[in-house]
Amino acid sequence: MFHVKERIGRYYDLLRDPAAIAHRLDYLLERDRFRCSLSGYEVSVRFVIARPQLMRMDLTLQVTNRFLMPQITKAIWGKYFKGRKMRGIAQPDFLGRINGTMVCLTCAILSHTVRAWQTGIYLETCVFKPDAVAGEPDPKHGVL
Amino acid sequence: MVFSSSGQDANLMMSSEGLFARQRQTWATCSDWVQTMILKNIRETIKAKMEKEHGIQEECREGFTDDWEAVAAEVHSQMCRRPPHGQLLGFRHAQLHAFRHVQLYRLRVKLQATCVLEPWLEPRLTKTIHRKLSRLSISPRCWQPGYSTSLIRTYRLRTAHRRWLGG
Repeated sequence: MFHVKERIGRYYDLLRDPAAIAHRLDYLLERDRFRCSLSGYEVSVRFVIARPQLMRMDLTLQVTNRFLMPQITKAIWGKYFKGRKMRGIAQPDFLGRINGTMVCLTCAILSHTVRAWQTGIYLETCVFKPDAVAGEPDPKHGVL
Repeated sequence: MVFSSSGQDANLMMSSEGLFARQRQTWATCSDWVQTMILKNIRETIKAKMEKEHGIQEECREGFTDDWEAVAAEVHSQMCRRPPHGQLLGFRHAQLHAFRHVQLYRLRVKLQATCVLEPWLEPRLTKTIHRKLSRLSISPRCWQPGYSTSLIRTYRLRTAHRRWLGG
């Protein structure tokens, strides 16, 4: 959390002006754009299947680059791999333990930090508590 | 812009609850191959960064099998070549002896090469050769300038040195 808090400005190219930060973060929080790739906030791909003899299908899929943003990798790197004595380096099998649960947890932390910055000034009173990650364990991926 | 409303803080805290569940709900909507691709992308990016910043590379054992017979043979040969403790000093002495021998050989080769290039040694070159010979505890018979280079190859060893080399 501390790592993300310190670097959130760099992750999302935030300016120093609080008003500009607030405007930018409002945009990122709308429809959870913060977890999309920087180049794919509003990607929409339209598929048209034209078969006159059968039917005509016009599908418009809202494809967004969710969970593809580089901020996830940066946050995991900073937390577990940056230093030579960190957990990711000390445990060689740690890389294989990066799963969907960890990705979701990282996104939850990013979301929380973005919300704390939403006004343009970081709210120190906002602490990332275990309540924020409350939920049933994922039967597929398990817990960390 | 100043934000000081505690009511808004409370709202923010309330809205933070269940963030994780929300992310996982979105994650579950991704198809399996997309999830696999995302995880693979993250792991490969981190692995590349580890190689770049920490110089840590993945151990590659592909194509190799543990040939324990070969390992045992190698260990056995190393143990046979290792001198026992009592002979360690002699072994070290032999190593030094070989080292000196190689140095002498190199010097001789160098002198011969010098002879080809310079029929008459210049004072600077002669001093260099003399310094090298002195470092090897060798007294050159002729180190003054003006001597024929054919004579420079004959050098006189000190008695102790000659005995040490087995001469």
